[in-house]
Amino acid sequence: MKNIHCLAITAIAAVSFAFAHAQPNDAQIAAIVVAANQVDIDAGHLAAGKTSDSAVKKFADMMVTDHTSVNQSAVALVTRLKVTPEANDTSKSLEDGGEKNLAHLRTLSGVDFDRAYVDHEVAYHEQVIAALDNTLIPNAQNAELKALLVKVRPAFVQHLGHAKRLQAALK
Amino acid sequence: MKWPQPVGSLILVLLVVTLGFGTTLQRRSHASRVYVVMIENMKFTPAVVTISPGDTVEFKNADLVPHNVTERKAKLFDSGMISPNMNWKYLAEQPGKFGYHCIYHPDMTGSIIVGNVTDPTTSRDVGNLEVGGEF
Repeated sequence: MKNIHCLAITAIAAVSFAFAHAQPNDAQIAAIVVAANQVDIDAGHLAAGKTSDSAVKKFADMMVTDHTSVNQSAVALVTRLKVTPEANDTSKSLEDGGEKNLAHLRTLSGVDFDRAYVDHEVAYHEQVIAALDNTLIPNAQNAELKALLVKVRPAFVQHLGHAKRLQAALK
Repeated sequence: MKWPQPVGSLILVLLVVTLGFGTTLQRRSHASRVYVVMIENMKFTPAVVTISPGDTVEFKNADLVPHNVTERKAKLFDSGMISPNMNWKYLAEQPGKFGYHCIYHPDMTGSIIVGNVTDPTTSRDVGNLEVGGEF
C-alpha cells in the first residue's frame, strides 16, 4: 500500500515542481488549464468504469462532468480571445503525470484501486488549487481569463473536500 | 319579475364566470412574484427563500459546472441537470418547507419555505415545474 501512495505522490511532486518554476503567459496558462482538466477527465473515466464502489463511481462521474464543463468554457473563451494554447513544461508535466497515474491505476483492482484513485484525486486537487493561487491567477494578463480561473476555484475546493471524505471512508 | 330568456341566460353565464374568477382570486390572494436563487461559487444564494403559494423560484446557474435542484426527502421536485448559464423555475402552489440539494455536489443545500406552513410533513403537493432556459 505504501508503494501505491508513493507512486501517486511522486507523480504529483513532479507536477508541483513544474508549477513552482513557471511564470506562464496567457497562451501557456490556457494549455495548462486544458491539460489539468483533461488529466482528471481521463482518470474519472477509468475509475467510473473500473470501481465497484458506488460512492467512488459517483465521485468519478462528477469529475468527468465538471472538468469537461470547465474545459468547454475555457476552450470557448480562448477561442473567442484568439489565444492559441501553447504547450509548456507545466502542461507537459501534467500530461506525463496523468499518463503515469493511469498506467499505475490499470495495474490495480478492488479497494486498492479505489484508494489509489482517491489518494491521487486529493493530491491532484490540492496541487491544482495551489497552482491557481500561486501561479495561474497571478500571472494571467487577460481579465476574462483571470476571471475564469477565479470562478473555477470554488468547484475545485468542493472536489477536494469530497475527495477527502471519500479517502477517510476508504481507510 | 321574469327576464326574457336571452337576458336570463346572459345573467347566468355572467354569474358562473364571476364566481369562477372569484374562486381563482381567492386561491391566488396576492400578486405572484418571482424569487431568484443564484447558483454561484458552489452555493445557493440565498440559501433559504420564504415565499407565498403561487410564487415562483427561479434558479440561475452562474457557475462553470452543471448543477441540480432536488428535494431531499423524497425527490418531490427534481430540476434535472442545469447547465452553466441556464436556469430552472419552480412554481410552488402548496404550503410546506422543502429542503433541497444538488445531487452532484451534496454540500450544496437550501430550502424553500412556502407560507402558511401548518404541518410541513403533510404538504406533498409540489406545485408545477417549468422548463428552464438560458438567462
